[in-house]
Amino acid sequence: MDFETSEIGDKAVIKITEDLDSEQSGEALRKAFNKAYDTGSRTIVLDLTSVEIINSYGIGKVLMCYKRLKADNGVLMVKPLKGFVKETFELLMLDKLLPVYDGE
Amino acid sequence: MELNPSPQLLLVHDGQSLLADYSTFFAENGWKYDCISDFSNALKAACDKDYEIIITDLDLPGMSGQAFLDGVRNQKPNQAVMVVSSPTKSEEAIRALRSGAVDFLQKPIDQRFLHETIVRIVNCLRQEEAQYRLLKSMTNYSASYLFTTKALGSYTFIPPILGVLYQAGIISLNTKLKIALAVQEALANSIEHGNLELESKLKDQFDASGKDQFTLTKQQRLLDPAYADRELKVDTLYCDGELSITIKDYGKGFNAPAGGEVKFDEASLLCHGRGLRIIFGSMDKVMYQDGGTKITISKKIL
Repeated sequence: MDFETSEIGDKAVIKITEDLDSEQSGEALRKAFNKAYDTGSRTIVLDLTSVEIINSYGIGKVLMCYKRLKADNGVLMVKPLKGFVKETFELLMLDKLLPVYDGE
Repeated sequence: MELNPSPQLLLVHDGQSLLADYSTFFAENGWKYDCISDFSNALKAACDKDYEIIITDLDLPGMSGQAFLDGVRNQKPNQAVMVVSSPTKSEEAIRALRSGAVDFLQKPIDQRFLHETIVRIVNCLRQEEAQYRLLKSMTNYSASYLFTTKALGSYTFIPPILGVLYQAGIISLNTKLKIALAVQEALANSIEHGNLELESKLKDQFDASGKDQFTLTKQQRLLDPAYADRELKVDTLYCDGELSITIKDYGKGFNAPAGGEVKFDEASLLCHGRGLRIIFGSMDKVMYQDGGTKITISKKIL
């Protein structure tokens, strides 16, 4: 399982195409994030629009990305969220931590 | 194990595939089945008749296997579909599972395994149907489940009552997912902190390769019968419109915050306690008993 990354200006956008509730999808996110980070991206956007389910394991992986970027003055953003993922982010107040990128 | 009454099956295949060989096998078992060789007619048949399982190839002319699955899901959300795929198309099969398929089998298919799989699925569906009927006729419903820690280490348990309540239109999909997530988090606490006796501080300790000690110790203890064979009991109770789920571990339990207060700020979010926040945020009541070895989470749903 691999997640694709595209570049929009100075931003790297990682498209998550599986639910973030398993070791496999968590590992795929870690790999895609490391690749974008190692190529110099410091503004990384997670596109979670195809994700229906996220659990605390998946959230842990998202926060790992956040911490790594924050430590290097970078920013982790998310595309506009919906449904259960949006509710879970709000429940954990992640919406206060991660700015929304609403560009295409 | 046999099925009584005989199941009603729909086979969707082009007559060339290995699936065709099993028509005889189904007939020998006395199982009733229809065969259709294209997705459009199969979709129509699925809507017109009541099949317990549709068994389908993913490669047929006229429509993609994925579009067929989506069509079935849209028109008959509760229809069980099992897909058969070639070993080179495992990603397609995984997508099918994500789209609601109940199982997939890889070619070549062993007849005994096929028989066991169909019996298992049909029995599950019949049990769920019976539970649904029971729920409609009664105001109280309870069920208990017993697992070993080892078994739940690689398996996600979602209480069947949630499927029944969702199918009955009593809870929304979001509520079902929220409660399922809260159960998953409570189970994780009972397994990791209870039966496996793992302390959260291990998450902040790393070995030379950068792996955290929590994960490493968890892997070791899941192989150690002293921890891995410990049981975990889950009781579900639906009574007077309230759903309660109790999880009991047989280890050290979990040190719940005093008075149920969950500290919540950026610092705590980045370290530990997310699962607890999810549990408290998704359920109406959370109660710890027996020194933290027993947690009951409840939600009023009616």
